[in-house]
Amino acid sequence: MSVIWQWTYAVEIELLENGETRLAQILRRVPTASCDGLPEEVEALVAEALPMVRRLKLPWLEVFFRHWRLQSRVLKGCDVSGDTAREAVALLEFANRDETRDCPQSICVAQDLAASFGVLDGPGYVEERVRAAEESLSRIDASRDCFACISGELVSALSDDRRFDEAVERARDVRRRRKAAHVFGELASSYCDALLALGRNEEALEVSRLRIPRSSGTRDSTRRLIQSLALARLGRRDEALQQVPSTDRLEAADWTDYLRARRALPGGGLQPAGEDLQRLIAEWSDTLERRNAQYPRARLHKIAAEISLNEGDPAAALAHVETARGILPRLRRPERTRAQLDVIAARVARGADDPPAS
Amino acid sequence: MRVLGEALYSTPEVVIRELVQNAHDSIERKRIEGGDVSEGRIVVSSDATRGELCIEDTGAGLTGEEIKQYLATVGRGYTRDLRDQEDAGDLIGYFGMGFLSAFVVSDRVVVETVSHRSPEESWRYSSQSGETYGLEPGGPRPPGTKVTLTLTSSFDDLVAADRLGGLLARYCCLLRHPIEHAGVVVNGEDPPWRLPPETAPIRRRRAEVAFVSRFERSFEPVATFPLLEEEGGARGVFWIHGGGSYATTDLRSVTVFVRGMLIGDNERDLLPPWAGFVGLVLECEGLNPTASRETIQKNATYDRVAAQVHRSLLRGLEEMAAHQPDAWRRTLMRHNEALIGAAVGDSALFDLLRDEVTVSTSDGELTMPQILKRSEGKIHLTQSERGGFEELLFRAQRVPVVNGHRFAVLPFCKRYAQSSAGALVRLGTAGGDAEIFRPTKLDEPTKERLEALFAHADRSVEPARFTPTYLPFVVVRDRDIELKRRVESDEASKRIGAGILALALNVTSRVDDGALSKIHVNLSCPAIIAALAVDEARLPLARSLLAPLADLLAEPSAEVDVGDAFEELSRALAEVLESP
Repeated sequence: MSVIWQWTYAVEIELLENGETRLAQILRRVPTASCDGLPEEVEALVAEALPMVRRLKLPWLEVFFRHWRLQSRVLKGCDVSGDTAREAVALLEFANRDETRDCPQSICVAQDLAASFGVLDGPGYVEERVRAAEESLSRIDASRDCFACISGELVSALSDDRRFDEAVERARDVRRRRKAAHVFGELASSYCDALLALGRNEEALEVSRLRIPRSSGTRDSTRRLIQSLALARLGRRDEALQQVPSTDRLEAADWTDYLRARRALPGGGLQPAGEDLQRLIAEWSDTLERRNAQYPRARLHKIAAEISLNEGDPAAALAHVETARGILPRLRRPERTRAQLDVIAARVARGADDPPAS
Repeated sequence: MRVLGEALYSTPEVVIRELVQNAHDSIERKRIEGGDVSEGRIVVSSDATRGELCIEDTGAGLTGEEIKQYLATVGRGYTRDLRDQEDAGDLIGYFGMGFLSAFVVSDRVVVETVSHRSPEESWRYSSQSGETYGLEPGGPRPPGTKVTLTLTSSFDDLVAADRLGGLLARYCCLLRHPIEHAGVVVNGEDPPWRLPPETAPIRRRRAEVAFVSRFERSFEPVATFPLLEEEGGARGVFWIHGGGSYATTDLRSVTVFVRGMLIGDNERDLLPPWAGFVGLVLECEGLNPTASRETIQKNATYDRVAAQVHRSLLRGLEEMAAHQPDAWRRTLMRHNEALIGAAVGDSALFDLLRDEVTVSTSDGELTMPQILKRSEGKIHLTQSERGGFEELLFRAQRVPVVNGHRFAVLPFCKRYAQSSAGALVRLGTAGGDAEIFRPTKLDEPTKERLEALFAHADRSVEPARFTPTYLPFVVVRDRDIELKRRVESDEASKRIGAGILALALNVTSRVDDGALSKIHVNLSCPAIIAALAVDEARLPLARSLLAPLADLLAEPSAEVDVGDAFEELSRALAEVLESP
C-alpha cells in the first residue's frame, strides 16, 4: 500500500475510534469523488471537512483535503481562475510549514501549482513546470504514488514542448522504476497522449487498455477518448465510435480530447452535431474563459475550426479561428498555435480543398 | 476447471442464475426447433440435508452426441451455435459457459437428459470436477433435462430455503417460462413495465412497490415511479430509498436485466452520481453483458441508457413533487442533505429543489425563501464552525446566518444567489467584509482624527457604519497580502524549492503590497462618536482606551504585543477612574 493510503487508512481508524465518524467518511470519499469527476461533491465535502480538521488541529488532513480539492478544480475542471491560483499558492506555503512539511501529501501540492500553470498556458510555462517537477521528483523515491503523479505532470510538460520522444522515454522510465520498486500505477494518460502525438496509435491503444483501469464516473472518459482516437486513426471506425463517450460524461479536461476524437470521426453520426455542437463548444469556451484556462481554450477553438471546416461550415471555422486568435496575446508562446490558425484560415480562403486533419 | 470458474464468477450465487438460464434456453431452443412448449416450465428444488440442488426443465434436452460436444467443451454451447444461426431473441446464455459455473460450487454434477428429437434415448452424465466425466444410458423420462448438484460444504448454504427462494425471485423474475420453487411460481407476476397501458395508476403503483421489494428488502420505498420508455431504450422502475441518508451516502442500486436474465445488480453508474437515494431495476435488450455476464459493457449504448435514466429520473421527481405530495414530503425529509448535494450537481434538479430543501442556519433549519425574507434578500453564510465577529453582528440583528461548513450548503447557496435576485454574503472573506462594512466618506478633519485614534504601522483605518452600534470596530486581516509576504519571505525560499517557488511568485507578484490588516471603525457607535468629539487634550487618552482594544481583538500576530496592549489599556483605565 502506498505511503499516503497507509497514512489515511490509519487516520481513518483513529477518527472512527474517536467518534469523528463523519470526518472519517469524508476522508475516504474525497479522493474518489475527485478522481470520478464530481467537483460539486468535492467542494461540498471539503468545505465541510476543513472546519472540522481545524477544530481538531489536524494540519496534515488540511493539506490532504485542500490538495484533493485542487486536483478536482485544476486537473479535472481546468479551473485556474484567481481564487484557485491563489489557493494553489496558499496551499504550497501551508504545506511547507513546520507542522505540515512531513505530511505524506505535502509533496503533491507542488504538482497542484505546476499543473495550474499547465492549464493556464502549458507551452508557455514548460521550463518552470519541468524544473518544478524535477525538483519534487528528486525529493521522493519511485515507490511513492506521488512519483507517478508528478512524473505524469513532467511528461505532459515535455509534450507541451513537443519533446514527445523524451516524454515517452520518461514515461517508460517511470514504469521501469516503479516496477523495480515493486509498485504499480502511473499516469498512463499523459504517456498515451505522447504516443498519439508520435502517431504510435497501436501502442497508445495497448497502453490505454492495459494501464488505464476501467473506472466509474467520468474517469472512464479519459480512457475511452484515447481509445476512440487511436482506433479511428487505425481505421477501426465502428469500434472508435462505440468508445466516444456522450458529452454529459465529460469534464472540462476532456473537452479538447473529445473534439479531437470527433475530428477524427467525421460523419460518424455522433450527437450533438451541427448547430447543437457549435452551441456546446461555445458553452465550453465560456467556461474555460471564466476559469482562465487560456491554452485549452485556444486549442478548443482551433480543433473546432477544423471540425467546422471538415463539415463544410467555413463561416463557423473562421469564427473559431478569430476567437482563438483573440486568445494568443494572453499566451507566452503563441507562435505554433498562430501558425496552425493561419493554415486553417488559408484553407477557408481556398475553399477547404486540403485533406482534413485528424 | 474450478479455478477457471472461480475466476470468471464473482459470487457463487451466480450458479443458480446460470443453471436456470440454461434450463430456460433449453425450452426456447425446443420452441425454435418446432417443439411444443405450451407446458414449458422449470422446477428448482433442493435438499438441504444432502446439500443437493436440482434444476429440472421440460426443454429440448440433449442427445448423447450433444453432451459430448457441449458439456465436455468449456465455453462451447449449443445455444451459441443456435444463436449464430437463428433469430434467437429469447436465448440468453452460452450453455457451456453457464454449465462451468456448476463446478465452482459442487463436488459432483449429474445431468439426466432426453432430447425431444430422440425421446427414446435417455442419458446420464456425471462428473466430479468437470475435467473427466462418465456418460451412460439413463432411465426412462420425458424430454428435458435435470441437473443435480451435490454442493461442497463451503456452499451448501446456497440451498437454504429462504435464500434460494430470494435468489430465484431476483434472478429469474423476468423470464417468460414459469419457474417453480417450493410449489410457487416465482415469476408469476409481470414486472410493472409489462402491465397493459390501461392499468389503473393505483394498481400500477402497487405492482411497482411489490416488484421492487424483491430488490430492496431493508426498507419499504418512499415512492416508486416508472422509467419512461424511449424508442430502443430501457424499461424499468425507480424507487426512492425508505432508509434515511446523509449527504454523500451512496445507496444507488441498479439491477439490469438483458433478455430477461439478471446480469448485474451493481450498475450504479447508470444513475447520475448525485442519486444516492435512488434505486432502479431496468430491462434493456441493447446492453451488452461482459464475459462473466455479471456486468455491462460501457459503450455508446450504455451512455444512451444512462442519459435516458437521467432524463426519466428528473421527470419522475418532478411528477412526484406535483402529484404525490406525501411521497415528496417524505423524500425531502429523509434525504434533505443528499438532495442539497444532488441539486448542486444538476441544474434541472436544482430548479426543482431550490425552494424546497432546508439548510442549517444560526436560527435552525430554514428554506431559502424563509432566509431571504428575514435577511432583506441576502444570504449571509459563514464557513467557520464558531462564528467570529460576524456572529455578534447578525445575532444582534436577528438575521439567520447559514452554516456554510455543512455538506453542499455553500455551493447550493452560491447557485441560489446566482439564479435569484439574492446576494450571497460570505462572512470572513474580503468580498463579504466589503458587503458588511460599506465605506463611508469623511471630511479631512474627521479622517485625521480617526488616524490619530487608530493609526498603526501595518493597519489601514476604514470608516464604516454598521450594526450593532455597540461594536466600535472590527479588525480584519488581508489574506492576499499575508500570503504575499509569507511567500516572498526569506523563510519561504529556504523551505520551498526554487523551481516551484518561482511559479508561486508569479502569482503573488500580481498583488499590490499594502497594510496587513484593516480596522473598520463604526461611526454609528456612541463610543466612537464620543472619541471623535473629544478635545485635543484628551485625544491621547481616547486613543489609549481604544487602540489597545483593537490590538487585543485582532488575530494574534508577531506585529502585536499583547502585553503592551494590556499595559496601555490599564494605564488609560486607571487615568479615567482616578480622574474627578
